[in-house]
Amino acid sequence: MAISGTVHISGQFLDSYESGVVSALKRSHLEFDESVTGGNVIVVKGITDDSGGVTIDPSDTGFRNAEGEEVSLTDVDRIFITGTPGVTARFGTGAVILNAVNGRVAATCCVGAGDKNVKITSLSGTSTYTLIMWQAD
Amino acid sequence: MSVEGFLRVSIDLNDTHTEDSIDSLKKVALSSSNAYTNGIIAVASGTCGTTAETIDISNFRGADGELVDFGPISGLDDSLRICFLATPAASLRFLDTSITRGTFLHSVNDKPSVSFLARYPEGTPQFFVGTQQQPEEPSYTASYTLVIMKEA
Repeated sequence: MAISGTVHISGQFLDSYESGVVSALKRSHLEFDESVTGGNVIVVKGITDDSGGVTIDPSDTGFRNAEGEEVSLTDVDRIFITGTPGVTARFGTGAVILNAVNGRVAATCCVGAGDKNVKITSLSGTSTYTLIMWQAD
Repeated sequence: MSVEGFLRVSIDLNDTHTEDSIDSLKKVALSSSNAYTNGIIAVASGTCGTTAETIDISNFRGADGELVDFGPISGLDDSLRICFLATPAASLRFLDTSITRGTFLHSVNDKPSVSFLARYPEGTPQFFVGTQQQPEEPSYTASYTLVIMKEA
């Protein structure tokens, strides 16, 4: 089993203003690219609700790698989550809280101290979600 | 003054395995790309330590030279896009009165954290940044950058 891939996060916002013969442009941007090699990855998909939600233990999701073996994460180094119509993901006792709505992907690199479980709840009613967690070697 | 732009987040991983004469590939990919044609944006950067401090976004000026006014935010606001970077490590809090709701992001070594929407009690948005609750020893000074965009 060998994992390789990329992580990309970028944003750019152009603020433009014109007054008479003067044009002003203010550009705010960030870009992050990373090559990922090795480690382990899990993917969890499902449906959650706005009451109890679902709790996912990254050490026991049943996800299998390309070799067909179950993957168990003891730590998490990259996290991506999306949900529709919207979900909140709360990680461990470090209390990192990510929100994702309308299929947009929220991301973080770490969840702080404590266990690595994640509780996913819907913002309203029920929502579908997809969670990707990667642990480096 | 008009703001337009985009925000992209993606991960694309290939898990390969070769055994005997069989090659296996398991591909994991997730991405979103959204364009924005109208809204307001503010950027704040600075340093922080173990004591949580408020990030003041009220002094950011638009292309027209005027202060950017985010106005009050109440309850669940799904028009906010929040990007946070810090090095060596820091956390950003933007919380509802209940800590179980809101936005709480960590960043390490300038790896960005991105969240969409925020919950907040009524009022002007306030962000708190600090190095507390980090996996590393928190007795250091961190630098941070916050980009917050609100769709019109």
